[in-house]
Amino acid sequence: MIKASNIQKSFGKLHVLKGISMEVADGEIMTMIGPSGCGKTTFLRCLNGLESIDSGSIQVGNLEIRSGEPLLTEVLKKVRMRLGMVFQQFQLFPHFSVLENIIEAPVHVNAISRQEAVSIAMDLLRKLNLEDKAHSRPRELSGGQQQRVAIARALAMHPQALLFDEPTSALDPRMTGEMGALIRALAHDGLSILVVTHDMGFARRVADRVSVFDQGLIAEQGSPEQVFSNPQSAALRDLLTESA
Amino acid sequence: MIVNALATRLTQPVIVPEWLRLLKWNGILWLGLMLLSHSAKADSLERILKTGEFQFGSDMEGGAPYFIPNPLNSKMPSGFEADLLRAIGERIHAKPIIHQGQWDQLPQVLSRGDVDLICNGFELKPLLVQRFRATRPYFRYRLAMMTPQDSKIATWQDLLKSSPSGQKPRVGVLVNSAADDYLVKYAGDRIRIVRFDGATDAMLATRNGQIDATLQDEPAAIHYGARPEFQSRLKIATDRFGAGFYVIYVRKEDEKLALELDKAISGMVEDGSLKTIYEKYRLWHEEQALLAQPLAWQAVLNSTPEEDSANSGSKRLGFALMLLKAAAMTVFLSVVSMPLAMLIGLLVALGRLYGPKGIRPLLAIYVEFLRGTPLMLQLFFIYFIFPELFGFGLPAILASIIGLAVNYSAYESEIYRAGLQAIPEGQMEASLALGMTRKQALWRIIIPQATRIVIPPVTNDFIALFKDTSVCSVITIVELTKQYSILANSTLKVLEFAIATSVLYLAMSCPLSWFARHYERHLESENEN
Repeated sequence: MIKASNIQKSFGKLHVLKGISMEVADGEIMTMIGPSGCGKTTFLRCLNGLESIDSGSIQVGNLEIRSGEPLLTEVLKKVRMRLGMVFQQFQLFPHFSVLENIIEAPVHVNAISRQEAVSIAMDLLRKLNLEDKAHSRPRELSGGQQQRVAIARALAMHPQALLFDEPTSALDPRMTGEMGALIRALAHDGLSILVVTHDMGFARRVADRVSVFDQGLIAEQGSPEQVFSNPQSAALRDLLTESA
Repeated sequence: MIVNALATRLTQPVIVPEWLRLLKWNGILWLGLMLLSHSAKADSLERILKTGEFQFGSDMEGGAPYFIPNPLNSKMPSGFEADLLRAIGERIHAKPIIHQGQWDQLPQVLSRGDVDLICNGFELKPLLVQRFRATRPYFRYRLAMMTPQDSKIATWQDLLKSSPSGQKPRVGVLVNSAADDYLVKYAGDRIRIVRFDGATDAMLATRNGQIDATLQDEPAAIHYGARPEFQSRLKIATDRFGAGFYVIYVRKEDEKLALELDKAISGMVEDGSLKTIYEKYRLWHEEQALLAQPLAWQAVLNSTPEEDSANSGSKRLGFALMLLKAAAMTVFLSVVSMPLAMLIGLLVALGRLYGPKGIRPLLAIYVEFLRGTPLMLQLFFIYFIFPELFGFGLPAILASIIGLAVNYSAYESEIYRAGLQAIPEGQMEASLALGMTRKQALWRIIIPQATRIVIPPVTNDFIALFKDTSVCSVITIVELTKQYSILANSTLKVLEFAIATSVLYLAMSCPLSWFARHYERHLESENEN
């Protein structure tokens, strides 16, 4: 369970998040949509501490980060280990092979044996249909394959949740469909999934619930059927007009 | 290559024109120009009489009491040899004009034709007599030894017997001077000779305890021994030895000029005006009477070098081994100081990019200071001035390694900074998101990637450092360039040694250049994928 309460965040004079609250249950998929600059990516980065928060609190399982409290690196580290992040540009480590990318954090952060890490990594690669790429370098892989390696790298830490930033931006329609299926399967295994996306169709198809961000606030929230068939906010109506 | 290597030496604080400095190291060019300039020359005396001026070569760097820079007249210093040349000038009706050059290079400057004569404590010796026309002597010199005030060494015999902690005593000399020759001949295997470019450098090192003694021509020992810098810190041994004569050298074809000079000096010996000059500088001693006895020097004037068998196999092998040993020193200095420079450079770059805000400007000053001052000056500081400030002297090798490593660390830090900044911010974020600490992310993810980027420029710097090791000769390190200089000047076989030295440098630096180019191509092809 991930619970964010009244998160506020400013960059200098720019008030980006004006009080975001959200709860995502285990096995639930939450997609976040909204116009550019609405704060949805910043919110995602606040969750795993890549950005500090000015006020509010973040709860991940029994761990809590509060604003104003000195950030204990140990707590932050544990929070990050529970939240896997898949970046828009994947950010694989180019000087490592696929396998080394995946075992890096288990070995050096979780301190499990290399042997065990390799067996976990090979399991993941098998499930993601990348077994034959274990010893390739990231640059030798297609965009879709790189994305799956990034997912495997996050999963190797046994997170409670996965955070996706624009997962479909580099994918063609068929690959987008496969990505949706993969996310559903991961949620089925009990992971909370948070997805920031511009892709309305994807947001609707994959989500259990949808949050519409607008100017640093959540304009509306609900099941995809509810939200998309009867948009309440101007922001969502504009988005639907644009993507139509 | 040698020209490149020595471009840095241009920073040396002397007045020789830059092009000359370059030329003196390049035997091939030097020889060519020498031939050109010689073919067009008649006896210099005619020109001297016509212009009323003659040019003489000398070295004012630590040159007292021979020549002392004169703030009132940059063309003519003071000093006892300056007084001598002025007096000679009056007798031949021409004005002396100084041409500054590094002392051990002056014979080559004379060969080139830049000066009409050289007069700077050059002793009458077969090697030079064979090549140049020597005048009659104008000074009877003796050698004097200087040791630290508290040293147990009081005489030459003490030195030969002494062996502090079982090591050979280290004795500093002016390179290729009479003292140098004397040590080689009479104490070669019982002491370690440390060669300096300037007489006072050897005294400084003795004072700082970096060497055990220095052998000097008596005039320099008396003059500097009385200076406040040395007076209470150095003592002059009681005995004198290794006596000989100073003469003026001119080119062989300038026989008429030489005869005029002979006549002038003889006149000064006879009428006592020479004695007057020497007494003014407190240099007159009873042995100067030998100046009036031609028999005392005639034998040397007519001699030929003992056996000029530089071509004989064993001698050649000996020279080759000396060059190889010096090349090994060049390699040693490079391979020890470059990794240090890279490590310090990396730490400085990390400090500037990720360190506490307070130290960032300090590190920026560190980089600017080291890049903005010459390596030679930094070496001087570490070797000569550091002991003054902190009370203990570093051995020359350690001082060289520190100097090179610290100097190059400034350049490497800038390269590393660019390399680190080239790694996308997302790599750090991805590492943090996986639970790594910043430190882990730096050492496991960011630095390895940056290192791959910086390898080609760092390799280039390695080649530059490799050649810059020659600057360490100013603090007595005999590396390849210095060994070349010593051998070329002591045998006057400039061309042969210049070629051999160049070949050695190329043999060492070409593989490095090749590696740098190869690796760069490798990276390019990687990036294309």
